[in-house]
Amino acid sequence: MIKLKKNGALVAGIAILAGLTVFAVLGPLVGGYDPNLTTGGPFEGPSGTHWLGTDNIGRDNFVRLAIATRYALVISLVSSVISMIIGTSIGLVAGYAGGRLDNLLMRGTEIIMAIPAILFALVIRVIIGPGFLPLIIAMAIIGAPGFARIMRSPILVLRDRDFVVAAEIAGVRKPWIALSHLLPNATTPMLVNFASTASLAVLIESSLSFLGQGVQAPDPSAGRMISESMRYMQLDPLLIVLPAVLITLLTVAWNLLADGVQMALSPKAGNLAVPTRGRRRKKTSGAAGRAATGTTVEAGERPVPADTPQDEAAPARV
Amino acid sequence: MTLTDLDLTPRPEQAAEPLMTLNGIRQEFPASGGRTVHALDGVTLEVQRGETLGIVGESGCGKSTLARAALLLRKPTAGEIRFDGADALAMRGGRLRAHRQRAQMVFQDPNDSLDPRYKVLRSVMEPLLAAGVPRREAKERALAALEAVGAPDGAAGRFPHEFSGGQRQRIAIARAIATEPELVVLDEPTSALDVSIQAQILNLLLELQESKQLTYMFISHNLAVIRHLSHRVAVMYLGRIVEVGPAAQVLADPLHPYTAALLSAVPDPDAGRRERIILQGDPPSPTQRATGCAFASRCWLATEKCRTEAPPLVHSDVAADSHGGHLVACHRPGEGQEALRLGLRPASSTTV
Repeated sequence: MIKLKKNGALVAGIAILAGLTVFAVLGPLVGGYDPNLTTGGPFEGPSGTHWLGTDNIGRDNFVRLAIATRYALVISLVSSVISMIIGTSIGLVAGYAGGRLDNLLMRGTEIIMAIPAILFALVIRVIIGPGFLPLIIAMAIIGAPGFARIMRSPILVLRDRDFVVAAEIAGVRKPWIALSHLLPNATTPMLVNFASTASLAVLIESSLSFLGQGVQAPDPSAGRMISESMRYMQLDPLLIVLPAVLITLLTVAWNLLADGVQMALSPKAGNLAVPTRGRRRKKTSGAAGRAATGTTVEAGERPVPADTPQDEAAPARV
Repeated sequence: MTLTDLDLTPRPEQAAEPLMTLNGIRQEFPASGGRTVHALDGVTLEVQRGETLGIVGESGCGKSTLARAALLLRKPTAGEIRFDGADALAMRGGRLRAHRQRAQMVFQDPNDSLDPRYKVLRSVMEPLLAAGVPRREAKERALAALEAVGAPDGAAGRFPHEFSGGQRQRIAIARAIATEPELVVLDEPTSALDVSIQAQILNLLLELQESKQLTYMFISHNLAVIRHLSHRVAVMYLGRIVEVGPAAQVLADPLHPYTAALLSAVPDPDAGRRERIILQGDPPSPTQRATGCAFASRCWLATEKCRTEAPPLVHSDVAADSHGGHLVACHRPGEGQEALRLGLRPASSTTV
C-alpha cells in the first residue's frame, strides 16, 4: 500500500527513530554502567571502557545518553498521544457540532495557544511539583490545541459530504457518525500532526530540562546534560555535542516521519489534503501538489481547504 | 436504450390520503451582513403514494433544500410536514429513527455518497443497523438489496473506488432501498453519470418502483428525464412552487410563464424553427424576498399587480375544470404559452 522506495522521508524517519529506540532500550544494558554513578575519571575521552567518554564527575556518557533518549522518547510519545486524544476529540466535536459549541471550543484552544509553551509548562510544574508527570501533563495540554484546529477543518468539509448526510438520513447516531465516518477520513492530518507535535515535545522537554525544570538531577536528559556541561565547553566539547546531536536526531526524525506519513497517505482513498506549513510544503512540493489536486477533484464543487491558511496549520511554538 | 424506451409505471389511483404533505415550509438561513436567505419561501406540496413527483427548477431555486427538509435533516423555520398522517416534525429519538427507515435518499454524485473507507456491504447495511435490525438479518437484507439493483457479483466485499460511476450509483440505490422505504428522494440521480448509463439507472429506478411500490420525489433540472419519469411535476422558482400538476399537462401546456420559458429552452429535434424565450437578467438574490410574484422581475408579462401582490398557488381560472389538480401561482396564467402558440413574440424571445 505504501510505496516505501519512493518515500525517503518516511524510511529515514522510521530508521532513525528505530535506531534511537534500540539505543534507548539496549544502551544501558550493553554499556553496563549505572548512569548516575561515577565509574571513571572526569573528562575521559572515548575509549574501550567508556565508549563515549565520561562527564565532569566521571559518569559514563554512553549510558547517560541512552537514558536521556529514553526520557525524550517516552515523554514525547506519551504527551503526544494524550494531546492527540484530547485535541482530536475537541476538533471533531467542534467541527461536527458547529455553532456555539464550535465557537466556545475554538476560543478555548486559542486561549491555550496564546500562553507561551515554556511559561505554561513552568506554571504546571509549580502547581504539581517536579518530576515526570507535570512535564507530560503540561506538554499534553500544550499540544492539544494544534490537534483541535488541524482536525476541525477537514471535519468541516467532511460533515457536508453526501455519505455523512446519507448516514444522518438513515438515522445513525451522531457520535457514531463522528467516529466511523468523520474520524477515519481525517486520519492523515492527525497522524502528520502527531509526528510534528512529538518533535515539538522533544524540544520543549529539553528546553525545560535545560532550565532545570524538566527531568530532575541526577537523572540524565539531553537538555540538562547541555546545561551542566556548558562550563566545560572549552575543556571537553564532546559533552555538549553529544546531547545536541541527540536532540537534533530526535526532532529531525519526527519531522521526517511527519513528511513521510503525509506523502504516503495520499488522498486516493478519500483523505483530505493535509494542511501544511509553508516550510514543509516546499520540501514535499510534489506530493502536496498531487494531494491538492486529488482533493479538489474528489470533493467536487465545494471549496476545499487544500491550501489551508497559515493560522490553521500547526504553529511552531517553543 | 434511449430515454423514450422507458415505460412509466402506471400511475396509482388517486389515494385518499397522500404519503407526505408539506405545508407552508419556510427555510431561512442567516447570511452575511445580517441578511436572511429565504431558501424555501412557503412551499406546499403533496406527495401521493406510489407516484413520482418531479421537481424542476434552476440551480439555487431550493430543490435540494426542499429534499433535505422533506427528509427531516434540518428543522424548517416554519411549516408542517405530515408523513403518513403523523406530524413528522414532532418526532424525536426512537420514533424519529424508526421514521427514518421509511424515507431514504439517492444522491447526485455516487463518488461522494459512499464512504471511501467503508466496504460496500457495510455501507448498504448502515441504514438497517441504524434502524435496529439484527446484524445477521441486516446482512441478508443488504445482500438482497445489492442483488435487486444488479450490483456486480462479489461487490459486497469491495470498496467503492473499485467500481464505475454507474455501478456505484446502483450501490447507492441499494443502500436507499435496503430498509424497504416508502419514500425515496432522488436528488439528480443521473446527472453525474454518462448518458449511456443514465437510461440504465432510470430503468432500474422504474423497475424498483413497480416491484417495491416506492414513492419517488425526483429532483432534476433535466426536463427530458422529468417528462419520462414523473406522474406529476412541481416547478420551483426562488424557493416557491410556481406550478404543479400532472406531468403531461404541465409540460405540454404550461400555465406559468416561467415553466413556458423553461420548456422552450429544451431542444427538440422534431420541432424545427421555433420561438425560444430568453429570460432577461439573473434571478433576484434570495436574500431579498419579493413582495409580489418572485418571477416578476424577469417576466415579460409582469404587471404592477405582479410586482406588489404575490399570486397564490391555485387552480387557474382559465380552465379550472379540465386541469384537475393543475395549480399555478400566476396572475396571468396561460398567457405566456398562448403568446408563443400564436406567434406573438414576447419582447425577450428569439427564434432558433
